[in-house]
Amino acid sequence: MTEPMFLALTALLDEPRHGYGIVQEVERLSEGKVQLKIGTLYGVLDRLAAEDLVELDHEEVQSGRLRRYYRLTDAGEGALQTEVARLSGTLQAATARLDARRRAFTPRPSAAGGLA
Amino acid sequence: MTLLEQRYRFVLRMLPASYRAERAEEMVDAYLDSAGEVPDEDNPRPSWREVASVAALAVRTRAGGLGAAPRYRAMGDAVRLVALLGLGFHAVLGWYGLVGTLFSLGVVGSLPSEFVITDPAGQAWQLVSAATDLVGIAAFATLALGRVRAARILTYVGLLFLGVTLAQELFVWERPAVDELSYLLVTAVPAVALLLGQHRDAPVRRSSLLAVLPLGLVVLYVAAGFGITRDLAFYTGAGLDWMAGWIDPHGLSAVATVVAGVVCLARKAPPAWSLALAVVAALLGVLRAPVRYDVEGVFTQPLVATWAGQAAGLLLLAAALAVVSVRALPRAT
Repeated sequence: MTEPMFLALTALLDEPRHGYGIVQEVERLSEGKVQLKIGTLYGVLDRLAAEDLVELDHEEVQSGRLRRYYRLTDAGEGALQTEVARLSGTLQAATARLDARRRAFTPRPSAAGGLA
Repeated sequence: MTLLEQRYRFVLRMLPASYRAERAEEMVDAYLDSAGEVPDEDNPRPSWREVASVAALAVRTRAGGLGAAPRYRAMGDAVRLVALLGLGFHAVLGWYGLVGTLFSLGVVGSLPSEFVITDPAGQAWQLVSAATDLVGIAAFATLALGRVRAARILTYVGLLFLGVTLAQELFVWERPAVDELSYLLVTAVPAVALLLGQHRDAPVRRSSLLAVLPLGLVVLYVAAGFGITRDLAFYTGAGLDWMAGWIDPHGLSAVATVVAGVVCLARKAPPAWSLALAVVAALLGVLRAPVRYDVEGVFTQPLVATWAGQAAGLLLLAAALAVVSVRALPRAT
């Protein structure tokens, strides 16, 4: 699962959102690091919809413009859970190795009390 | 309608009509929300990043991958097949070139005089040529193993080398680089197909067997006594000039393409196969066109006539396959 797919699914966890709503939420979730362009967003939505991970929730017409809201499906929630478990495993492994490295490089007090 | 909306709708025209019918309105809504209020007096335009994202979507939609509509999936499969067959062709030529180098160095046997290079500059050139052969071999192998990014980089390195060779022919040696031009086309089209077809949504297939298939074909070819140890003079001397045009790697590739194309036409193969073979047949047809620069004046009339016949046959086959496959493509929904 790519990062934009992961973030778009996460953005739909709490409520259905329309295109720009997903863009805003993804930007918030990634602390401004991922700014989806509209072409990219719809490529992601096409892929997620093709895999039945998201589906159309409802449509609205606002100021004469069509607005479609998407929601997460049960399969989408499952895929997100699997990805979170995978990422958590990686994070734990990285944290454990960082701790081990830190311990290995921490200077030990000398038994002889050091040089006078 | 604001100027920005007009311009964004114009950008969206890159997308297939069926996709626009489904998605354009909500894309416009999302875009205008993200752009905010911009007065026409400011002469606003969608940023190049927005345009690039729509262009990439247009490519991904047309060269469809996983989840694409059947029509665009077939087109995408055809594009990916052109890349695979094109890179496979270059890998076969690469192995053939490497085997030639081994013969030339006396590692696996002796060669007729025309292959023996004693000039130091020629030997250096042979090393560069062997490096290019390796790049072609590795590009196909990485693609067959599902390492698309590596395949892409290697393909562009090969293309760059060919561009340099072409420039050298044209500007240093001042020769009409017709051979290199047609070869550049045969290299560039699969490279572009690789760029367009192997996107994020493209299905990834891995096959170790496919990766070594070009080597197997070359081993069979050499074991059968074709090429390498028999130069053009061998056939000319035996009065069989025309045969040289059939049993060299290009000639055999042409035969294989014609056989595959005829089978596709007779058995109503999936449109992706017919479409890909149409492109491959057209490329080989151009490569086989008898416009090659005859430096040493060794191309006899029967040989040139053989090439002309092959080129005409391949181009006719390409046209027939193109018509049949376009008709067989599923309709856009």
